[in-house]
Amino acid sequence: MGLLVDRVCVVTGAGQGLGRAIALEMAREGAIVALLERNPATLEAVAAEIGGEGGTAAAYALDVTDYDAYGRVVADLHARFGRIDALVNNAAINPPTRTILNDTLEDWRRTTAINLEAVYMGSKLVAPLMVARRSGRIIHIASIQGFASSGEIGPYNAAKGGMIALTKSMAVELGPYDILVNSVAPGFMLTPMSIVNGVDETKTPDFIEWYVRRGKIPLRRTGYPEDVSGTVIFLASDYCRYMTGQLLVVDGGLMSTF
Amino acid sequence: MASPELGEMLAFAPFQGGIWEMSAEMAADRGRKLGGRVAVVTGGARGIGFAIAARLAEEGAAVVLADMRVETAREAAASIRAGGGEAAALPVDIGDNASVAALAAEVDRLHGRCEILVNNAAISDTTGIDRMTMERYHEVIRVNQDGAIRVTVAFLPLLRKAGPGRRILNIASIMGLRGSPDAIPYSTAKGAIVNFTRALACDLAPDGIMVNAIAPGFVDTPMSILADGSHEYDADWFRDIYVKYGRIPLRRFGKPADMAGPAYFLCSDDAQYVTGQILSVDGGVSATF
Repeated sequence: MGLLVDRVCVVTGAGQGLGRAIALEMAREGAIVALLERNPATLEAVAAEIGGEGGTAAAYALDVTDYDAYGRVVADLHARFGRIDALVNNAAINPPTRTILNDTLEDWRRTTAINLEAVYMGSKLVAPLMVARRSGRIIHIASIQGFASSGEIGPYNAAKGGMIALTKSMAVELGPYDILVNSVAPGFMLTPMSIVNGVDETKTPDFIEWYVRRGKIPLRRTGYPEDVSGTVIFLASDYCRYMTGQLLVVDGGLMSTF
Repeated sequence: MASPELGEMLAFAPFQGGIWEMSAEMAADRGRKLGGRVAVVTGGARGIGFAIAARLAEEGAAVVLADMRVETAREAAASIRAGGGEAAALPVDIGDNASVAALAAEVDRLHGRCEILVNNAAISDTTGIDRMTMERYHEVIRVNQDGAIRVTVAFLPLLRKAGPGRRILNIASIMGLRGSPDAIPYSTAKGAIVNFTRALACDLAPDGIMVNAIAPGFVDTPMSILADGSHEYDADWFRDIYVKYGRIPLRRFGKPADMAGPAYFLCSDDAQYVTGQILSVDGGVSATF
């Protein structure tokens, strides 16, 4: 038996990287997975992958910042399945690699709109359905960039830090309805988003020398999407029942050292 | 990841920290803010302890440098007096109950009170779990962990009969907040100091005693000289990674004097509603990864 049999689980940004791995893993645990993804090609590919494994997926081409469309998706899910058991707020973008000295207000607005405001709005759209059933899980995919910074990624840092704080307020406010709200902070991950300006940041000589060879990531390797999906399954499952408002750091030990 | 361009930009920018014009008001107040207060600094003979003691003396405190190295402490006290400050040196082994009791008795005899206690003394240690004996573990804990608690207990009566501005300042470490290899007893003790600070702040709040800590990062002190005589920060790993690639955003190791400002602040009247806090003074190490 899977851990999420017949649970309706919504994953935003499900077309690639962490979102794809989370969606696939949830489907393998028996969930009915609603894939929310802006790119129709990757959306269909992941839906087909889940179907091919014998899982159940409902695919929605959606820009998460189009809140009217997001509302229609939530209404459709409610009409089709009668409930949403879990929402995984995963969709995010990288802003251009710039510092506070040369980034733009447009970088800030676009990054915070997708990485933070859409998380807030998506949660706001889904939470009432969970309140009505006095049950639910909301999981934010934050980042170690939410409480530390590599530099040159300020709007992303601010948005991820905002998600971590929002986890606390939502946990406090939704706790009375038995809705658990937690977040996950991945460290370095080998995903399409780890490729910055055409260079995979987990493959550079500096990365290999410092983080891997010298052990600044104590587990001495970069993370893979599958390293994160297991943690999300745990948070969405019945194994997690009395834990809310927490941040689980999945970084191979990086932030435990200096 | 900080790009090479940013690294080069910062490498060419001269360090500007600490260069500022003191206002007339601040200049007039200098040397009086801690006037009439007694400050005891364990491990005050050198390194971070001496830098803090010198700063507290500069602000008008009568300082007691309590140290195992009593000759070095006497010279250090003489240098503070030569600069116009008030300082005395007393021997102490903070790992020993009788020695700590004797120190408290002597401070009581000299001053009759203690407004500011700085728990700074510690021994260095580079023992990883595989090489560690329980004897070595207990030796480090006896000094670095129990030492601060032992001194605090012995000085409580002197703090409670002191005037306004009562403070305890513990010197923790980034190693008490994060892990690093080959430092099990040291890291364990510093972690204990971090939460001792928070718990003690709760217990002593009714007495008006503020309890805080600073957590230094990489600081150049006599403890940075390794057993083989080399300097910790001359190593390639330090220069390449922490400095060149900016894992220390300020791109240099700290000096003892860099610890004195935050330490003074927490001991001053400017910190009247601050207690149970840990100030990381690490050039930004803990803000990045």
